[in-house]
Amino acid sequence: MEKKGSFSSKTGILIAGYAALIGLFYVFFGLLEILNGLDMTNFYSIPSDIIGGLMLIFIGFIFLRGIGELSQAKISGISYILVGIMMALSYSGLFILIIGVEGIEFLLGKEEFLDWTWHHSIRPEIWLPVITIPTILFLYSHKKTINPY
Amino acid sequence: MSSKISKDDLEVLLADKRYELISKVVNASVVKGERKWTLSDMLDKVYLDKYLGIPIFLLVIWFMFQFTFVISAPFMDMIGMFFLWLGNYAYLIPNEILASFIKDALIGGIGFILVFVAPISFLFFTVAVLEDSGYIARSAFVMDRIMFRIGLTGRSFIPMILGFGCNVPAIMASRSIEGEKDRLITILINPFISCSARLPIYVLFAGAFFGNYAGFAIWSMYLLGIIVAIFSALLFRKTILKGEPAPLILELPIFRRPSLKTAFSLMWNRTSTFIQKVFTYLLIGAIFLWALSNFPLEVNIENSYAAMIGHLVEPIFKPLGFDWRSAVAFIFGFFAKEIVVETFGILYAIEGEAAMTKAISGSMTALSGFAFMAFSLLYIPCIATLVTIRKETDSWKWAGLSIIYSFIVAYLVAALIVGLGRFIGFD
Repeated sequence: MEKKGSFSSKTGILIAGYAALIGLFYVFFGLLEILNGLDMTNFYSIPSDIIGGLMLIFIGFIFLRGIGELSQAKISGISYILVGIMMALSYSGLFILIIGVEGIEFLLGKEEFLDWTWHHSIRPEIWLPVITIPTILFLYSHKKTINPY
Repeated sequence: MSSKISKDDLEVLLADKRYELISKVVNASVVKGERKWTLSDMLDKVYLDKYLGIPIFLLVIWFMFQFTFVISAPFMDMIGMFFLWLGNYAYLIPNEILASFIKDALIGGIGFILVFVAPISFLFFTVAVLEDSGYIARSAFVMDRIMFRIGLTGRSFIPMILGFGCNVPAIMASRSIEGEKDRLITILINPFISCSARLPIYVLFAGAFFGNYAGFAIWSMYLLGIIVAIFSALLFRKTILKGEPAPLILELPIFRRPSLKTAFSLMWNRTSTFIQKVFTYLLIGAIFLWALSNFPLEVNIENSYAAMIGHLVEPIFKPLGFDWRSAVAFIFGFFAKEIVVETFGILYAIEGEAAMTKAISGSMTALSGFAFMAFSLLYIPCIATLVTIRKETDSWKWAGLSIIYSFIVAYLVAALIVGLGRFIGFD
């Protein structure tokens, strides 16, 4: 069921533009991870992770897919922002957990973690959700239009 | 109405008519107020989106694998360290044979497999969260289009997902599939879906050969299982089980926040089954294997009964680069796939994952290691799965077909990996 007009067209265009920006950021960093993974580039602090890069691109696509409906101020468009944020935060949480896990491996004295320092494990998945904060605030301001049940 | 209409088409028509009638009654009797979007509506809009459904499914699965394998790693190490420490006390026993029995059969055999309680319980936890949230039903819906193309119904996808845990309940879950041919195909392809019992093999071999790419190597095995299952479904549909798959009619439960209590309880139920298995027939298997590798007494392991059995079948596996130890592991892996790893632990008579990975990487090439992982994934289902196939199909014919077909496929895939790898220049 679509309910139009819960936010103004101007807000719709603004939030659509911002969703596009987030989407493009995710796609960009996803491509960098893939290029590093293929040994075609060697960007500092970007992991060489083909699959991880692909996943970032998928998260970017979720934000990009919502642009059409958001620009028409359709309330259903915020679904894409909601799921995009959920995925972005889940992956951020996962990689923060991985830093903790690697820290434990370091403390256990595992051979492959002897030179480990926490900042080597910082990757775009962890900090990219920061750019979604304005959309989280937008969702929060529209929480009354969503029935949790 | 044509007399050629199938039973499945008739059911779809009946369902259509039923829902038509329901909406007529509802429209005539209910005045709709303005309804808010529910959270479930919002999630469904994106999760079931024509273009985003599959990428989101891949995002969820990748998250699940990263959580399972990476986060569980230190727990595996800690359990491994504990058994290594415990094993050192066996040296205090003056009787050499008794010390070897306690250290290699009991502590080594059991401890080595108990290490994998960590990733297995993490896998069960994530599957339980997905089940409880209502996402598994959505994944069947999302995959229906692909499943239909390979000659299956979306409903077959649920047993496939359950197969990641264990093939036995997954095959039982195929009872909900209505078309007999759809059900048979789902049962026959399910053993190719990588169950948790194969996980220790991947973790061990990927760790031994692929370093930083271990996660990718493990993930590729899950992908290989799915690809072989798809290929097999197509083959069966075009040959022995011809026909059209039944259309998917699925009522989706509303999304709900998964309960941690339920997830932990499901995880514990399934993990405790695994632990029981370790202390019952995996323990018996470890003792039996230890006896085979230590007798006749006073001889080198190369002349033990285990080696005799291994050397007998070694020629079959030699072209793939597997030695007699691998052959013994495959033979005993038929009883339970976990025994494959247990066998290496006992035959090398060493403890701890680190020592084991060194021993394995010294005995075969990375290419053969990868082929070993693929062969372990695809070859003959374990005995419990075979008995379930027999029970569910009410015939030994399908269980027999599963044995022969899976062995041939496993051999061909492993040979293809070795052949292609050598052609490209890996060895």
